[in-house]
Amino acid sequence: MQRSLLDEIRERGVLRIPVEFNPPPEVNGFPPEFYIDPKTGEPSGLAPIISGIMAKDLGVRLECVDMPWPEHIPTLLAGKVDILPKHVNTPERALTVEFSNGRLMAYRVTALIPADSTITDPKALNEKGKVIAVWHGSSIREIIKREFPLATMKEFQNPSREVDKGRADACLTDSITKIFVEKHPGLKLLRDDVGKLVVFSHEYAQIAIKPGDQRFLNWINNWYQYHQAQGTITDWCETWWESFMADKE
Amino acid sequence: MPEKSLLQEIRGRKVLRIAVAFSPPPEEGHPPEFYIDQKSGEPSGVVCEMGKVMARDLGAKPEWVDIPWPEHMQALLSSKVDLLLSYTNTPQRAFKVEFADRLLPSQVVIMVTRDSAIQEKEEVNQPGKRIGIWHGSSITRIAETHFPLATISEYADPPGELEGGRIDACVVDAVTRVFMEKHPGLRLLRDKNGKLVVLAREYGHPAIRPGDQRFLNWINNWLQYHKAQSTIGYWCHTWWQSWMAE
Repeated sequence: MQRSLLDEIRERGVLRIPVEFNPPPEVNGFPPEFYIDPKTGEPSGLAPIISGIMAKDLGVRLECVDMPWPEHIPTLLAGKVDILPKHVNTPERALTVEFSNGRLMAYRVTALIPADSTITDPKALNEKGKVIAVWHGSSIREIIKREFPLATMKEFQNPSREVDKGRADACLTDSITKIFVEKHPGLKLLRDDVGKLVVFSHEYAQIAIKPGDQRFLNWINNWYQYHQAQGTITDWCETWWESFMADKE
Repeated sequence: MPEKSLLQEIRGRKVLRIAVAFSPPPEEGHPPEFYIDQKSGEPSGVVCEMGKVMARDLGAKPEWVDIPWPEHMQALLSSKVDLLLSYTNTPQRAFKVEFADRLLPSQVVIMVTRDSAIQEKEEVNQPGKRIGIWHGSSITRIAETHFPLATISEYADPPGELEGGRIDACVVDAVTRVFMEKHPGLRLLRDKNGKLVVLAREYGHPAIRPGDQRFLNWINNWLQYHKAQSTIGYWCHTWWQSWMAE
């Protein structure tokens, strides 16, 4: 039987996850995925918190390896980190990695447009010459190709700023926080003519691993089921995560 | 590295081979699993629609392999097809194939003639009572469990046997409204309060040949994604149920 990463992690005493530290949510309204807690100086956000619980259950310490988001999957495949704690499950990604079964946080893909825009129908953005901005390496690129085939898609490290500065007509994004909306009065979420939030896609983060290690995948599925029963998943991935969000339907 | 998975083979050949058993369209009363759409001439039905989605996500085109229903499992095991997209999961079948998660729900119900004296389920479970089920169906075991005293036989057209007076009841699933309208001499058995008598609830799952964990994991991830996207909610619940009499 092939040796599982599960045994290796326990022997080495470390669970390694990739992170891309952002400023804390209070600063600029970033979603609380990964940041350094200004009070403790420790990694925080949903990915380090959930992974920290997993590390404790594995009897090891957590190591957060900071790198740009587009490098997370290649780094997993190269064996330099052990899990991806917050990637959205898509059929395309599942060709490269394997996702465990349990849903972590929900992502609603929405559009940010200028606050003074009168657009209420997303079709108005599907025109030649319109620019739709997106996070670099994001799974949202596929949704833009599907929804706005006539527009031009551009990837940025900070796509909402492109809309704020008038260089893009909309930004397709997810996890828009209440703090973000307060701090960016020049932007708003696209709503239809009766004020209902326009949601282009519902997606979920699921823990992913390098393919071919069923023992580790089964352990993660068992771990998830336990923490779902304990309420840990609901506490962090629903109650805590959603308390930050402005994009509720 | 794990053994080569069918996942890579499908991606390489760019074709996903799916078993179907084309029936007349639902407008004629058949359950809308697989049929040729009369307007477009294209394969449709819940298996074909979900099969198109899966093929697209694999970067492949779907190939519909038309095989009589009782031969589907053998076609899978002999590699004539890559998967059975919606095959009812039973512990016995799982000895031979491996099932991914749930896809298509169904209810197993009892059909009798409109003028039948049978009013309660217990009246079917009598020596001498003849029960018909679809050939190759997972329903056999359910019928045997509920009606151990009756005689159970498989037929290509159990409702036809019922209408012909050759059997006393059918145990079936996926009965459509159109079917019931076209067969006014038949009825579904209901209890004293008019509630439908449901013998079992089952699910069709994607099924593959055993031993290919990589492909099975991909299919499960695919199901999870399309549950979140509501693709499955639309085709396997809203659309499918819109046809059903139950």
